[in-house]
Amino acid sequence: MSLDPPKVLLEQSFLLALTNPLAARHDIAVTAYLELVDQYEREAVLLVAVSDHLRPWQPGRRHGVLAPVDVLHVGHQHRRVARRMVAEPDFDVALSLTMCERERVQRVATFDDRFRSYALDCMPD
Amino acid sequence: MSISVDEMPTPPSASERTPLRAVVPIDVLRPVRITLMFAYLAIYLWWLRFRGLPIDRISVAISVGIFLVCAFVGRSWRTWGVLLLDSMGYCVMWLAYERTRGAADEGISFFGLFRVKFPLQVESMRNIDRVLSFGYDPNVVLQHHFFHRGVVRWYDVVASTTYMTHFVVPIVVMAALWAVSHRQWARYMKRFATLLGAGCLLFVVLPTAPPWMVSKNYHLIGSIQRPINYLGFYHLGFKGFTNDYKVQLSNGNAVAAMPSLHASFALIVPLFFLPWIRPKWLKAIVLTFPLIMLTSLVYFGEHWIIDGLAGWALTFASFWFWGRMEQRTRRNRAGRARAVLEPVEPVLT
Repeated sequence: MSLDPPKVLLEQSFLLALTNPLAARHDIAVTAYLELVDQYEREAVLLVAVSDHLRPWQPGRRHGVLAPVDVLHVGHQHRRVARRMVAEPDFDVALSLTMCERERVQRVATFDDRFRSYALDCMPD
Repeated sequence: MSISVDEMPTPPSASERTPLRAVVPIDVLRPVRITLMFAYLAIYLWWLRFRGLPIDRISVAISVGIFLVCAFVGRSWRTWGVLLLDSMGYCVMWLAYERTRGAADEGISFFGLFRVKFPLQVESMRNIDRVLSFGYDPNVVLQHHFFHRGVVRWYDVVASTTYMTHFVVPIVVMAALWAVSHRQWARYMKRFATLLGAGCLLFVVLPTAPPWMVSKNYHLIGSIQRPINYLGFYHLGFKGFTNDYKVQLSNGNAVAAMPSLHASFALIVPLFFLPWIRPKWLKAIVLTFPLIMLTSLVYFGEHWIIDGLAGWALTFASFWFWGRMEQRTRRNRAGRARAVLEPVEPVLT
């Protein structure tokens, strides 16, 4: 049993689509994110993102679109584990999977289909 | 290029999906952490039985520190840094509390120029208690009916044990939350620190003589036996605990009765965990703990009923305040996100 509400990881592809109005799936990302924000406000979920992936928005992040998002801080040990992951050669995907496993994240908001092959609840559908 | 429905790759079914544990290398230090924490627990229980429970602030801080080292082995340097900052805040909080509590009976000094000393409440709390108890002095009545010199009854053990949990349970909860969820630890600490701060403020502005003092020094109520709060524990064989407790009392403030932090701390832990407890009967059982604590405090002559009620009121106020603040923070952050994403609808005139 976890004391915290379930965490939803906003994966890099989702963050890029959400914050770029010209992105192909921006509207889908916005619709899904607004639903998540409603759940966040009711304390039904916690929104999290990997610190490395949040870096472009880091200064002033709490004042913008990603204000509800908490940071999963990546340590050297997480990077080391991600580099050793043979099943997933892409470092960013491996890092996200590592953080999901270590921080017990079950739901991932992503547009990257590679996440759908893992035992994660991926969204948007 | 368009893809027909037949050509679209079908997502793997739930049984075909790869569990994360199968691809992410295991955290080799996790079993080490768990082993160390169990070893700590075993040593702690051995110490409790044969050496006594450490309850003075320094011993508690050291024991919590050792537990946290066990729980944080192999965590990132950043996590250790956060833990260090948290620990400093924790120490400052207790130091401020001890200093303020100890000096509260001497009033407040304004830059060393003049000192404001608030009048000692001797009769007022007794009078309120008499109103609440239909004209009786509850401390005297309870001791008259239940206390028998030289005999330790089962309720003495229950009352004494409940009384002594004050020095341990809130800190154990703090340490456990620290290890399990930093977010929940921060929520708990905000409420706890607010309670300590408000308690200290009241110790300064409302120095209150406890029932045993009103009985012994002012003879305004019947005879009260004291100290008897350790007898039940003595009966269980926890002498080391009691000795430490006596040492700790010598630095205390005898007129810091209002509010009762014993009553507050006995409520803060059940109240914090209440949202996670599902069965209503279990919630009811958990909430009897602060009631047993207040009854014990009154029985031992340590506090008036009104002290306990004020302590509970402070606890509820602290939870209400921080609940509102946290809700407001969530609302503000959600509002900022919506303000960027939701299009502003044109106002038709």
